[in-house]
Amino acid sequence: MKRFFSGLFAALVVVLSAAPFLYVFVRSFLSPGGVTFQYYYDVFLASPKYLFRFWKSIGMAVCIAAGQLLISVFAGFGFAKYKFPGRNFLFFLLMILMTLPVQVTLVPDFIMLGYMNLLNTYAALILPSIIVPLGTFILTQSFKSVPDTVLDAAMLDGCGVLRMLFYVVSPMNKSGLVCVLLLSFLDAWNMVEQPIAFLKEAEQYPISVALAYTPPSETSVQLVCCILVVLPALFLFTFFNRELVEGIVLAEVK
Amino acid sequence: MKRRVLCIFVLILWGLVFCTMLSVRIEQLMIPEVVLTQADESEPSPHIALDSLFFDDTGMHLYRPREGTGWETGTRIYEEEINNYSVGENQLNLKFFGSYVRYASKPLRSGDEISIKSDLENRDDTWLAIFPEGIPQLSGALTPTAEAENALLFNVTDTPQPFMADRAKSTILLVTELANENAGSFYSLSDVKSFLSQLPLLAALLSRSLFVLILWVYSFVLSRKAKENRAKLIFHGVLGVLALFAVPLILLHIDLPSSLLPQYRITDAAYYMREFGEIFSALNILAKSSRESTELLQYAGKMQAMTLVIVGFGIFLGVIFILIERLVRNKSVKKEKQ
Repeated sequence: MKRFFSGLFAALVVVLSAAPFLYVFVRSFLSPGGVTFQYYYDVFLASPKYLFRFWKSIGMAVCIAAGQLLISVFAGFGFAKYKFPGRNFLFFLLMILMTLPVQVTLVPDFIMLGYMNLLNTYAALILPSIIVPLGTFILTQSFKSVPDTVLDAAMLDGCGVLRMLFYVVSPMNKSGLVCVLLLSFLDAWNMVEQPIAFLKEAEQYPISVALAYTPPSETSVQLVCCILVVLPALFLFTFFNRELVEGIVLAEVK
Repeated sequence: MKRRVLCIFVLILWGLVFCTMLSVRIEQLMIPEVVLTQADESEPSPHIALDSLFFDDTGMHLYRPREGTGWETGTRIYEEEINNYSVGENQLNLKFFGSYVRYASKPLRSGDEISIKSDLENRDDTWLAIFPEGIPQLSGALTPTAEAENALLFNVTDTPQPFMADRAKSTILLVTELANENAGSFYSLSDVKSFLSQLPLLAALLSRSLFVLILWVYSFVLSRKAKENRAKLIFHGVLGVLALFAVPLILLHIDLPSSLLPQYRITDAAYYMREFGEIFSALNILAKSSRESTELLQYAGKMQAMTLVIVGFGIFLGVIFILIERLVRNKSVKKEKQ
């Protein structure tokens, strides 16, 4: 009986989670006259404006994910394997920073970007998003699992720090790296507040924000755009689901 | 599972890149070409020619160009309020001076992006006019060179390009007939020929996509043993990318005449069947008395055959490619066994 109810509950959660997406998918094929592909034609063929935004957003998210990964690898390795004064305090500070919502850092970011004359450029979205503590936290925990003896052996074989990092430590922590890459990509992909705050022109908005600015008469086109927006996330989750779970578990266990 | 997901998303990615390139060209092709007219500011009250009015099922419309913003960036047309103009005896009386749309290459809709044609080049052309409900009174500006049932052919010299049905209509018909629902359909045979000449290029595009699709299906099957077939899968991927690189080269050469394109969807097959059905049935009737019609019908036959051959070639190439790969694989397996 207990098993039946837990199964039923799980099924209910799945249905409730999938319902909005199913609604979007079904509704994107429906018009007052019946089934139609008109909205798909409007988004994918009639004009490149939606797809151009999609590719721009992909480019931006890839830049953010790659930058965040690179910084997190170095910082995570430093925290995990080097002892320096104030390490624990800095790590504690990092954890506190993790708890700050994006909205809190928007104003200081805006002022700094203004000083750097980067407002209204994609750099205003990319630069602040690269320096985010979550990746460093996950990789610190992940790199701690590498035994020091392995690093010593690598150094005895003549490995420099960079070589050791990229040829020894990183391959041993693939799931951690994938997890950081995935989370940072999805975070950048779903970015809403930063483009509204840092970009003036609506034409510059990534697709996550631009969706809200489509003409009100084009609700069905918005639904097709939603499907377009879901595609990268769907791919990443289905392709890397094992690494994602492993990476999160690893960070929690440590 | 992972390999299949990758395979499916590679196809989706290919499709998205393909659609992006295609949509750039479709957007350019679907933009209606218009000729503007200006109300003469030296006159005491603004007025323009009566043929600037557009008629459709919803009534008459007058359009003005304006720059759009945001998602609707670019030069667009917006409908003028009906209170701002009135129909005079031989002119359209306006409330405001400024630019108005006079002719368009295809039916317009408020908010459409437009391409304004100002420096028009002229060329000789042959116009086909079809009146399903009987030939109305003509203006007499042009004399038909061939006539059969409800279709007329006109040879015109030094006429402005691109062809616009409304302009042809106002040349051939009396002003009083312009608003008539039975005003007929007008086509340029040069545009029809130009459209037909593009069919092989469209077929090349389709054939390339079919080849990639066949390759993908085969790769999907091969992906079950991805480690064994890694080299082949990479080779297929390279072929897919190369096929994608060729797409813009083909698209650059595709130039479909605006007057023969549907109002909303370039893929509207029913529209093409209806329009070309009407054109070719009229040409078949006129073929007895007109050399242009006979030549165009022969050209159409040639282009149709060429199109079928090119599409078939794409499928043939895909199948042959798979067969050769399998043959090579079987031979190497036999050699290994020996």
